[in-house]
Amino acid sequence: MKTYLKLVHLEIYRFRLVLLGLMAMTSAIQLIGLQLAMRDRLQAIRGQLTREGLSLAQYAERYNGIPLGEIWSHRESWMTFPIVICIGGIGLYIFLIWYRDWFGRSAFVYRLLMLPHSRFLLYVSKFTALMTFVFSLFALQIGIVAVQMTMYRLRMPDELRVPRTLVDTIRGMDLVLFIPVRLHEFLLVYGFGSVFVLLLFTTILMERSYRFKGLLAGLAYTAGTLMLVAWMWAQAERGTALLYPSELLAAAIALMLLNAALSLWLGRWLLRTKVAA
Amino acid sequence: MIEVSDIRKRYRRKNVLNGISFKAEKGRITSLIGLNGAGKSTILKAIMGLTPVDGGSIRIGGQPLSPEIYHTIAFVPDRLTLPGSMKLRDGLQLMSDFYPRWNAEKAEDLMSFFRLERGERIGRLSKGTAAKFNLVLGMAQDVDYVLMDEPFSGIDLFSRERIAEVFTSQLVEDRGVLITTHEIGDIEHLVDRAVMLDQGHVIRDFDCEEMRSDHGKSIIDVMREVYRT
Repeated sequence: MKTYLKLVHLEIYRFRLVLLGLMAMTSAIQLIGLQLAMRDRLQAIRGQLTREGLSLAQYAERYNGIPLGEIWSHRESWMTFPIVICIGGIGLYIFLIWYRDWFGRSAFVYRLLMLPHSRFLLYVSKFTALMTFVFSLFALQIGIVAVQMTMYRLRMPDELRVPRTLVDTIRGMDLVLFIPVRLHEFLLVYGFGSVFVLLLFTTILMERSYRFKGLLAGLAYTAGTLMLVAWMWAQAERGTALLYPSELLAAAIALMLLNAALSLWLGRWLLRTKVAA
Repeated sequence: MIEVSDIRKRYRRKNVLNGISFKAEKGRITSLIGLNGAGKSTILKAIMGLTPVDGGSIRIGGQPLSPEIYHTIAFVPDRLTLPGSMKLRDGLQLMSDFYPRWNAEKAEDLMSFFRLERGERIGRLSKGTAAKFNLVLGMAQDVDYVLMDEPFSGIDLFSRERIAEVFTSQLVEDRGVLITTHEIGDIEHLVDRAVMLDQGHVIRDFDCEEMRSDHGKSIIDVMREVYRT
């Protein structure tokens, strides 16, 4: 356990600057973005008030208030762009977290594979570190929305303000896919995401063991699994399948759990017997 | 004892190791000798489980390879094995964190002996300094066996002398050392056993002292016989 935690610490330490950079970039863009969006929106409203000779109260009565989620209008990319960059960065790091140990001037993989501990710890520690990065960004995103709510409260005139809870604000900003607000949604999105990471980890180890053939086999298996789950999902959405949507969902979950177990088992075996430095 | 029995490996449609067998005993220095591509480094990597073999067996102290075995054996490869962004002191800390048999006192002595700066970045080390640091990482572990892959390769004369001094020190006593080197002249007088390889085969395996006393030949004499014919 101690070795596992030390390995997790090592992986987090090695990615810390990129992670902090992503966090700083996300915070800056999303908070400045909201500031600019509120400024534009309030300017537009003031212009309209002058043109139509309305007071703020009359405007609010006629057009209703403006909730936080609706302020963005054309500046929505200020919110989504950093999220896309973070997803891209973490996605890329799924591969780099392994390959950086093989390539470069130093072969750190020699040291890692020679550690006097089970090699499977490398697999689980890298996975844990990666999920820690994901959940750190996830937590940061919730924190940013909370700060944005404060900014909204301070800047938006009382007449136009629409008080909402944090959860409703997240829903209103179309962030639900990244920050699922219901427990089962959270488990589904991040559970499927975790299994996808496990599939890719094992694909990487297959490539490190059998080179091109291993890569092809791993990618085909990962793609096949995802297509099968997507097909099951589509069947459930359309309601045309032999099974009820809830049964299809249960089948998809069972399939992903089976794949997670298979990926872990295969990854362990490859690390123990096949992976070459 | 490290026992390598009939190991075979095929890589990129070529037989790299063709049934290699030899033994390296504790308390003795065994040298794997061969021209480029003879399979020397592959054998060391196979012993450390860094490359899988297609057949045969490797036993260390009578035990098959397992994570526990790495408590008893250290490897000094021909390249750096720590991230270049780390400082030497971070590297020593990492070794201390993960290796229960890491001897910090011994590491400190070796760092002073090689005059290495703890604040230097690993990625900025010259080839000679990197080789010395690699040696620190391997020799500061309290293990029974040390494997070294070309520890003198591409290193200046004075650094080579400094590294060779380690072989006459207490650091090597009582340990089994398995070393591959092109610069056999630097350590010829220290080697107890020589295993000569050619194209993945063992072609000579002899006790150096016996060779000197019975046949009056040094390792280099035997190498001339073997590799020039």
